[in-house]
Amino acid sequence: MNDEEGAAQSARDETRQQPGRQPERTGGREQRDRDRGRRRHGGQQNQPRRAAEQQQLPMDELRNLFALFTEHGLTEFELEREGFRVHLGRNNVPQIAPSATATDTQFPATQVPVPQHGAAQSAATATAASAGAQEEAETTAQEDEGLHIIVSPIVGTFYRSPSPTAESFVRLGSHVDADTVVCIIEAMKLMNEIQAETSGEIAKIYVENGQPVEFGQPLFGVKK
Amino acid sequence: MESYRTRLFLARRFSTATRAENLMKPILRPVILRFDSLPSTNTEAARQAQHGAPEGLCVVAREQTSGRGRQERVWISPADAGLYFSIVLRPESLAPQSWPLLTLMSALAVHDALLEACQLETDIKWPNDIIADDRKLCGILAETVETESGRVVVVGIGINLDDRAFPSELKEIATSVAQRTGNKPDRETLLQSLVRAIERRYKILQSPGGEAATISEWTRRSSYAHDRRVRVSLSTEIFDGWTRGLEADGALRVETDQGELRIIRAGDITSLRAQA
Repeated sequence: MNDEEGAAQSARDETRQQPGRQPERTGGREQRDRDRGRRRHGGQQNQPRRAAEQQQLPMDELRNLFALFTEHGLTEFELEREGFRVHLGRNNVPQIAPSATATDTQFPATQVPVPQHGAAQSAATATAASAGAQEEAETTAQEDEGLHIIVSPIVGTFYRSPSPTAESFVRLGSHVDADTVVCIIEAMKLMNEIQAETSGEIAKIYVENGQPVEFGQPLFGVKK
Repeated sequence: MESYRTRLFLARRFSTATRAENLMKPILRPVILRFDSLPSTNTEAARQAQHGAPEGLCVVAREQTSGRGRQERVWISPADAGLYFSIVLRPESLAPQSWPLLTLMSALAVHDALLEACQLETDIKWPNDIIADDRKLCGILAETVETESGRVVVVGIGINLDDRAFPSELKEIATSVAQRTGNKPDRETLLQSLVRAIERRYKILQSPGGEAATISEWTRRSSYAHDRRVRVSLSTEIFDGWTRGLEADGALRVETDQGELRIIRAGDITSLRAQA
């Protein structure tokens, strides 16, 4: 019931979640830092290697990449080293991260409420996505009409604004930078601010405010 | 020039060694920053994290002028009437899918601290409200923040110490430690207990099998885990049902009156009187 917070709603703290007011999160430094942070999240094997080791990507590692790509229902993956670049993509992005191929049994297929008018479509894309994901992984770029797809890093509920009465973080046509907050995904009262991770213009919004989203589900398409 | 990038932050879990290595290091080194007044301890903790604050940095204020809860709801925070606390966590050894468990873990820590420092037994309403006599005693709000050294989680905790902590119109749904125990607790004692409890619970969560252990502990401490008649309010709909335990990521299973099992990850849960 969120009770006292709700009933006492009168003023707002606009210091941090206000769209467009992220004074400490701008500039190129953030991009570098985020890259660094991402490598960190990937674990130590994800660290860049010395130049001598970079010439070739071992087949074992490639196989691992394919397996991970499939296992986690990723829609896009890119790995670049000196003189070497691998890009994995799916043909039919955007699509729902297939719960059937998410082999992580800790997070079984969810039965979160589905928007009435989108239910059939979601089911259909999920089914399509589950078919032979590995075969769909290719080493050439397969981007949706050239859009960069921002996907959900977790299962949760999608919010386009910091509160029901606030302005949306972004709209169709909004210009975004890598560190622009585009939405919040809430799960168990953990508010995950999702950043664009690239610069460009919001060309597609795949999810409606307040709807549940799956791991890896496309949220926005960004035209670079 | 070295170039290495992954376009997806989903590409985690390359290493299984990371978790074991992380277990070797001390989990938290709490440092407490104290303020007379802040707009919001979460905002300050996030700012500190962006300036490189290490894991374990705690921010405490005697009052908040813009304390906030979920979806920017206001958290009333008059001076010395509550414990207004935030902590910076960098849960690198936890898979991102398990990060929401941090809020359930925090609720367990508050439960522990209230028991230790105030001898007060409390209940946990999903996912992380601390309640006594079905009235709210403490709220928790966690937010992710991007920093130079990766993503961090700021967990904000507001505990009502006495009845000044909430406006009188909320007295039917809010309560305080003083109201429950008859004594206003010593803020410092409770704070120290809370920090120790977070350390302990956080360590458990990050240990092997820690996610399941946290879920199990939460289930044991919450009357909302099983067979509780509840109303679920989502932004899109409202329905009633019975609670049927938690998912591995802390989501609440609710069986609707139509017999459908729904999995809840966001929304408000309110208790309903059981109907025969």
